[in-house]
Amino acid sequence: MKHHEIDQYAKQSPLCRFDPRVKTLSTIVLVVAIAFLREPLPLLLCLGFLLVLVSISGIPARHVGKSYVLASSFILFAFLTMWYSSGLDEGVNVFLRISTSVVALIVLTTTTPFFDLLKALRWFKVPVIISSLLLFTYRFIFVFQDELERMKLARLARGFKGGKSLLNKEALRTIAYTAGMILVRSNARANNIYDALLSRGYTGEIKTLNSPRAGAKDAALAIAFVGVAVLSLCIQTDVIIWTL
Amino acid sequence: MDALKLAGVGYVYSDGIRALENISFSVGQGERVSLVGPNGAGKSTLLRILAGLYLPTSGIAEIMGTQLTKKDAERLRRNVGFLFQDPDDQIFMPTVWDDVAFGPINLGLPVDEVKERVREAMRQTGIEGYEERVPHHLSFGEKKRVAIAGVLAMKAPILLLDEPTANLDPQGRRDLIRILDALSETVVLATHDLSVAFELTDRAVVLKKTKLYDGNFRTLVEDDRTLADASLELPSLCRLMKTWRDRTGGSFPLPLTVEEALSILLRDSFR
Repeated sequence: MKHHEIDQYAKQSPLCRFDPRVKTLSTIVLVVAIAFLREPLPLLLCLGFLLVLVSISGIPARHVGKSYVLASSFILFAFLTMWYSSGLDEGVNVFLRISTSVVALIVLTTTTPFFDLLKALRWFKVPVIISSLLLFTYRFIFVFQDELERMKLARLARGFKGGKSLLNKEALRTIAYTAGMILVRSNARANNIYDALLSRGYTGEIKTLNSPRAGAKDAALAIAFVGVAVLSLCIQTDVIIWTL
Repeated sequence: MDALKLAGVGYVYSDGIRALENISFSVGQGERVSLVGPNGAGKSTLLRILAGLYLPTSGIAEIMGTQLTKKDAERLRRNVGFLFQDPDDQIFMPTVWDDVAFGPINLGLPVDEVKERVREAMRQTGIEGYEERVPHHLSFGEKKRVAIAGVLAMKAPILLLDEPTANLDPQGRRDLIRILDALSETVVLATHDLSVAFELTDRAVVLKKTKLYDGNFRTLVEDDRTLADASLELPSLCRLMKTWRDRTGGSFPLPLTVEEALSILLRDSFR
């Protein structure tokens, strides 16, 4: 079955060579700064910076676009809600704010191998339970996807034609049973996967071969991120009067 | 010291299903044993106990001379490599290299040792060149090899194999038998495919919730009652030779391999 690979570009990207801890912290700083921005100009500055990073990283724009689309329904919902309640300007601001944060996180996750990212989170003392949850969520997405695909084929093979209308009661009943069965099957498979992990020495701690060491280039990256964050906040608070 | 030892082991699942009752046997170091029995006989449950993943609900299990307890389970698991029936249950990491290295990294080995073990395991299983491949995109047979490489890289003295040849095509099955046959570790193989058991192991433990038989295959293939009780079917070759023996009134022991059958047939033909 075809899966979306989370580490598809992580090891090829030039940004992969940076310390994942520095990347993670820098991204968090930028996202926090973005959360305080209320004007389009500083938001566009941050977005522009991130798009430059995307072009340096070598990640295909199509991949970034596809990842963004996954979050787009939530962004659209927030945009419409703000537009309806506070006007178009607020709607656009929210849209830009969330979109820029999402792009920042896409850059981080796409250019950092998943296990290095988890290890970085552990370095920041994120509890084992959280890093394990992320690890298993990552693995079980594929498990769910596989089970869903198998059951869909099984339904089709036995002549199921419903599911095109929410008004079809029979189709709804079948889909509800399918959803329940997916949970049961996935649970059984999840137990097997956990047993397999234990049998290969997994103790809850994430271990990788890479032992990152922050150097001058990591410091440069951090300064760039923090610089953009500070500059954006300065523009926002009119410390810098920017006249176009 | 036995590699594995069970004394009166039973296992009851949390929903009340009794999977195993009063199982006792031991496996010596370097020995190869098959656990055979029908579906639902408790083979996979027993393998999980032998792997230190489940604790028996009654009786005593020992791994390399140490009793399996909750406290020691994590340490004892390091002695056992477990090949799961479905490689998708086992393969976890984004690339083949990462997956094979997962176990050695968890053992806390130095980087060079991890790399050497991965290289060696990939060579043994014939998957050199697959290092950067994404496991989810491999064929079933290739995934099985990756899963075996992941187990071999642990360099555990005991290997537990759950239906290793299930769902493989004939060539994949043959390749896998060749890989497993070259191993020198203690092997416990759970299967209902007797022909695989004949080829890879010397001793059979027949299970159907409890132990029905423990001995060599020569005696087992002649034991119609145990075979019927365990819902086991002899491979085509054995059935053919049994029919041949009954029809011709021969007195030869049933052959377990094609070579043995051929020598009997040649001998009888020239008599």
